[in-house]
Amino acid sequence: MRSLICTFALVLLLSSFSIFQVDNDSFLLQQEKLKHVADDCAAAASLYYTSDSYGDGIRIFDKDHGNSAVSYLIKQNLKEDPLQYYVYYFDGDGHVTEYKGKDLVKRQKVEYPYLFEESLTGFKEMVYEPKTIVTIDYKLFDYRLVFLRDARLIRTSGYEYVGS
Amino acid sequence: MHELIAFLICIPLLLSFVPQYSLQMKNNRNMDRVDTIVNSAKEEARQAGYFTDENITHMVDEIVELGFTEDEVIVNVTKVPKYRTETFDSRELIEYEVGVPIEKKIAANQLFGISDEENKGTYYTRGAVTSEKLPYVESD
Repeated sequence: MRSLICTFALVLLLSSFSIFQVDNDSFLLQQEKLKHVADDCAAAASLYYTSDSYGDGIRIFDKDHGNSAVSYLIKQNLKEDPLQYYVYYFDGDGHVTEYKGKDLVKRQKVEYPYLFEESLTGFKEMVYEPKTIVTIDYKLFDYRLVFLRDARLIRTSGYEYVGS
Repeated sequence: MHELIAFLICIPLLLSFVPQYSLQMKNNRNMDRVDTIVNSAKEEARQAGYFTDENITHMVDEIVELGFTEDEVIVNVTKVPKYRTETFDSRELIEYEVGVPIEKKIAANQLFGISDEENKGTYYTRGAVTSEKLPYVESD
């Protein structure tokens, strides 16, 4: 009887290790995937700009098309809809525009170099040139072991035009 | 005697965890490497506008090095050029889907009554990216 109880205890312990290993591997894979998606979204948002201002030598991003590209890529590349995503456009004329999903949150004039700080992730970046930054707040990753706190899947990525 | 019988029942159960850890590490390493390989092929495709034959061959060769055969690697990618447009157009996205088989998910599957067929799977990495290739403009 004693050996049976010991075995059950060991099976529980080893199962916990095994479950943690599977969950943690899955968490790291999803985090890596999210990093790539954030990279792709930031690159996609920077592709569209107004041709009139570009003719004057200033890159001003076309936010409507940039937001459509980000929204579409997130839908295509992630299995579930994220809790929220944020897109920041740093235009060549010094305007910073922040979107939460497709909704305009803030538009302000700054001077480059400008220290950008993402409030959600604490990501800091000195912005010198036109740039797009995307933050995807994907979800809380559910660790199956009840005594582990759920981890947040969130990534920020930026795409910059150097010397434009 | 009953202690010996209990011991004989318990040992295989406990030992089954040892290969499970190694198997999980192997499967996860393969999935992680496949993601990395596909991601770097995708970056090249973004510049070229599509997955070129060279790019696909290089990607498959790298995946084969992980221990898969060429026939096992499932590749469904955009093979016609897509172009960077002035406005967002979802038809101009480069799409990719690459799959590799997972031969075993549970190490001692027979012990838990799981058949070899049920114990197999396929890992897919899929998505879409925008093309950075500019459309060809004919000069006068």
